[in-house]
Amino acid sequence: MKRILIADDESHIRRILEFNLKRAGYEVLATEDGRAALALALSARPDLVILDVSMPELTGLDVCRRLKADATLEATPVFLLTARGQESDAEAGRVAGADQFFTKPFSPKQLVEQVRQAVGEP
Amino acid sequence: MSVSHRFRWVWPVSIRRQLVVGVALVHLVLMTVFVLTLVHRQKTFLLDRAERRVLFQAELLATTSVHPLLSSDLAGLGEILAVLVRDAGDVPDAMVTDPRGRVVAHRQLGEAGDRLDDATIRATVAGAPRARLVARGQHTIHAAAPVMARGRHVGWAWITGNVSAERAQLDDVTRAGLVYTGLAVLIGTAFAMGLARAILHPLSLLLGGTEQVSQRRWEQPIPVTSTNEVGTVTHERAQFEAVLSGIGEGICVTDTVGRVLMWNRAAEQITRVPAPVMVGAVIPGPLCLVDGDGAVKDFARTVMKRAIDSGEAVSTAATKLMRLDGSVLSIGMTSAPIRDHAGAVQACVSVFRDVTRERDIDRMKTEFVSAVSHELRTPLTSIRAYAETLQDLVGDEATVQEFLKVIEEEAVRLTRLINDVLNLSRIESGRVRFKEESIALAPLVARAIQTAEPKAAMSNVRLATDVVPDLPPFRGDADGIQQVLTNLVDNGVKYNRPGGRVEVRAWLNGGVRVEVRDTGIGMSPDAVRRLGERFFRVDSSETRRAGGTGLGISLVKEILQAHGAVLEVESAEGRGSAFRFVLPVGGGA
Repeated sequence: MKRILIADDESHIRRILEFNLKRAGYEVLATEDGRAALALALSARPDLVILDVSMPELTGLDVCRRLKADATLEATPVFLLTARGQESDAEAGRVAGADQFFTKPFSPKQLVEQVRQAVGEP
Repeated sequence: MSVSHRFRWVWPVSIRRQLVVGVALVHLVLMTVFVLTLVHRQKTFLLDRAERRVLFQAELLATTSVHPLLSSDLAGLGEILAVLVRDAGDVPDAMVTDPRGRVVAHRQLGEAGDRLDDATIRATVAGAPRARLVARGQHTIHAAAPVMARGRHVGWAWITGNVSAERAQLDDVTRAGLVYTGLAVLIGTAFAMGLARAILHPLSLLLGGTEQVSQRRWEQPIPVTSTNEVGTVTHERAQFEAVLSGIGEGICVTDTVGRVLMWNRAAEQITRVPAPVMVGAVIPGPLCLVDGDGAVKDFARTVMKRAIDSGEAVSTAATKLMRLDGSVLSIGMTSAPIRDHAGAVQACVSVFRDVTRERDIDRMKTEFVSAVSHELRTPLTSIRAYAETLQDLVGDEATVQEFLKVIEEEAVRLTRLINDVLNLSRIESGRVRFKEESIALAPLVARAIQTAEPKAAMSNVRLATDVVPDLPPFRGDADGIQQVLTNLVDNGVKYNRPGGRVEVRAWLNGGVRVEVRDTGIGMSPDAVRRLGERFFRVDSSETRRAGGTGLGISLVKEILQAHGAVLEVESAEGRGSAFRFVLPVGGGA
């Protein structure tokens, strides 16, 4: 089963992403801050990581950069979620090595569809 | 004084020389004419007198000679001539002739200079027997008078008069005239120099002062106290300088290659570079300027150069200035070309000021808008995501209910956020008028507690009040203070931990003193300092979970400020916070 890691400090958003991904058949790990996300990514080896950009402790961009710098995780697709939706954020995301960039509010259906395209059927 | 260019080489350019040369020339010409006229008149007068004297002596000799001549008393005649020549002193030569000019008696003193020549004598005796001057020499005058005896012409009396004395007198007058002319020219010149100095000294001070506009010795006013025309000009000049130095904007005048000609006081204050250092330097000189492309090391890169090249005013707000002490300012500058009467660009005047604060406010505004948009997007994301997911959840009633609850919560959160932003902006822009009524505090506290009750119960936080029973009413706005209390209590609950407590106390102490104390997570000193910045939240996962916007405390501060009160914050990380303020007690109520 494909495993997806979600990190967002907004519980409602974690919950709805988790709900949609689980319904699509994926295994979901959820955490509320960047440091925990990084630790989970290293220990649980997810197939895809979804990160909110603005999180306490470590931002999504920081986590993304560290994942892409890790030899064992650099191939793992990373999706970034941001509430700012400004060009500079998208640019920062690209620089950090993110594979996809979603501006809030986004459609969970589209996000699940992108996950399916990135990692295949669960 | 306008003098055509052809005369430039004789006519000096400086006013001082013009005055001196002018006055000297006038004195020289007038005095010379005066002296010449005087000498001429004196000469006429003296010679006239000498002529009349000689003529009179000739007539006298003619009269006294009648008798000796008729009686052919040659000895007597000789006696008369001898007395005449000896006594008169100024008659070196006298003689008596017969009517045809033959000498009868002659007396000469020493070596007579110019004796009457025979031709003159012949011409005289050929004429009518009448007394007259017959010749004039350099030092002598010759006169002849007929000797008449009862109407009969019996001879001629001849006198040669000496005019050396008159000549000497004339020479004296001429010499004195020349001396006076010289004196007049000297005194006139000295006077002209004095006058020039009197006029030009204040003028030169003014000129010095004018040069100092660029050099800027502003602390020394131009020391001219004259009340004449120069004083007027100076006064205007001083006013002009006062305006220039008083202007809050930095003024920099450069020539077309960037050499600084003027640097006013504000320019010194903004850049902290004094005028003596700047004037004469080529921009950027000692200034450390940075624009969008990096450090400006060349005049060609400046707005001034662009203004000079384009011939139009150019503005920029993108230049930064680093002072020697390392502080960095944003500089807003407008440069405009200065043209001469032919329209050619001669110089460039730049007006600049420190726009750091405006830029900061601009940046804060942008950040605020960005933060608002961020905060709005978060609940919107939930609403959209839950609503979209709900559409596929027919039959799973429990999940549908859960999701609808989330949608409602997030819509409420969005509404509250929008209200907070609007309220804050209205209070800040002064559009909210707080009332000044006499209000009892206790009901407001009770309502705040009541409002926070559901959330407190959910988070397992205990609420308590300790309001002194007979508290006098305070003066203020009921809605405003209600919002303050509600926000503070809400914060106390939000940033608390299960089993914690929030207490509202109020007592009388120099007004109605209110304290909202919690046993929550507390704040670091830095966080206390930044409290009230828009969207500043004490950033930790715990506070994120609490879900505030940071606008609550901003609103509290603004409302209290409108009541003349200040929010005091005391906090210890991990132990809790206390918020205190004092409300004014009713005066007129």
